[in-house]
Amino acid sequence: MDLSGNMQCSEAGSQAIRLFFTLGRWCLWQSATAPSQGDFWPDGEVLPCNEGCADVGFLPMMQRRRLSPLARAASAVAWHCWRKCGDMPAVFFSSHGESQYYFEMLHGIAEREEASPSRFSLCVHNAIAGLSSLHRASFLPYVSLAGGTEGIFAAFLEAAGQLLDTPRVLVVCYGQALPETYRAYLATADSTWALAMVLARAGGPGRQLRLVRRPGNSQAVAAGDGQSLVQAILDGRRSSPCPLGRSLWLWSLDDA
Amino acid sequence: MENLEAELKQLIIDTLELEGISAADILSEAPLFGAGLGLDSIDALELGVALKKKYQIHIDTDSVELVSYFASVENLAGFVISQQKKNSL
Repeated sequence: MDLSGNMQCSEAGSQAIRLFFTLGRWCLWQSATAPSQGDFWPDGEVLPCNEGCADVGFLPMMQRRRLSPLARAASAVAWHCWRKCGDMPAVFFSSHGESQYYFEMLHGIAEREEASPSRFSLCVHNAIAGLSSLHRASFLPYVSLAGGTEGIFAAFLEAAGQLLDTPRVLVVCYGQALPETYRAYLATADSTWALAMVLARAGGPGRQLRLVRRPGNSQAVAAGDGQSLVQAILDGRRSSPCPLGRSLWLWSLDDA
Repeated sequence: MENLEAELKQLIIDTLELEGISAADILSEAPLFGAGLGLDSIDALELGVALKKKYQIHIDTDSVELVSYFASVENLAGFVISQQKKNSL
């Protein structure tokens, strides 16, 4: 089945899903210091580490004051892509969202403390996407996805669907280390990171990002998928497999 | 009253993370919300939690006068004093 050239599925009994995009622009930030000179992917930028706190000086103080470290990271990469490419619908993705904030809040409630209203409002999973929309005074649609069995690749599935209706979509993925209490149960990122990508329909001018999903049976869990993609971008690696339990994702970036 | 107003200004700055603003920048009689300092409804809730914690006062959220209590630092100081008097009775 061919869906507007961006997505093919159930091809010849292989049960593979193929997603094809043109990568227009990317931007990433991570709290760990990035290599100063790397063979990064083309057509993008790595924002300065800024001592582990993404710079959001482009926002007025009243807008940036409540942003958590995770929200600053996501807002910064999204802003830089929008500034270069203009406004467009967006797909935000984070496996666990503001895990530090909601864990602190739950701990406080257990101690019979009153929850902070602003922290509570920012713990809502789509809060970062909403704030980012406010930052650019946009009226375009956005969705905010949480973790699942497909890891960050869920954002690309959603983007492929959105590209049926719109010529470009911004994908913003972000994550941070989980609170210590959760780490016995879930694999987690070891630093805060955010990655934004401007995706267009396949076959446009620019590099072609191809993703293939095949059924998998590994024991891996969807936690390091985002960071492994970030590391591949920093290393200039153009293809990689990513096993995620019931699925195996293979992605590649081609020049033509 | 002046000491309490200065204390409230600092509480507002610290609680609402008003980076780059000092107590001297907040006029006691100036509006805190909307066109004044620019605070919003989430700030009002946050400030309410901080006031209850610091001054051990009760805030009746059904009170029709609540908006005027939170209109300025001056009004807020008057409200805190009146609630503390009620507590001491």
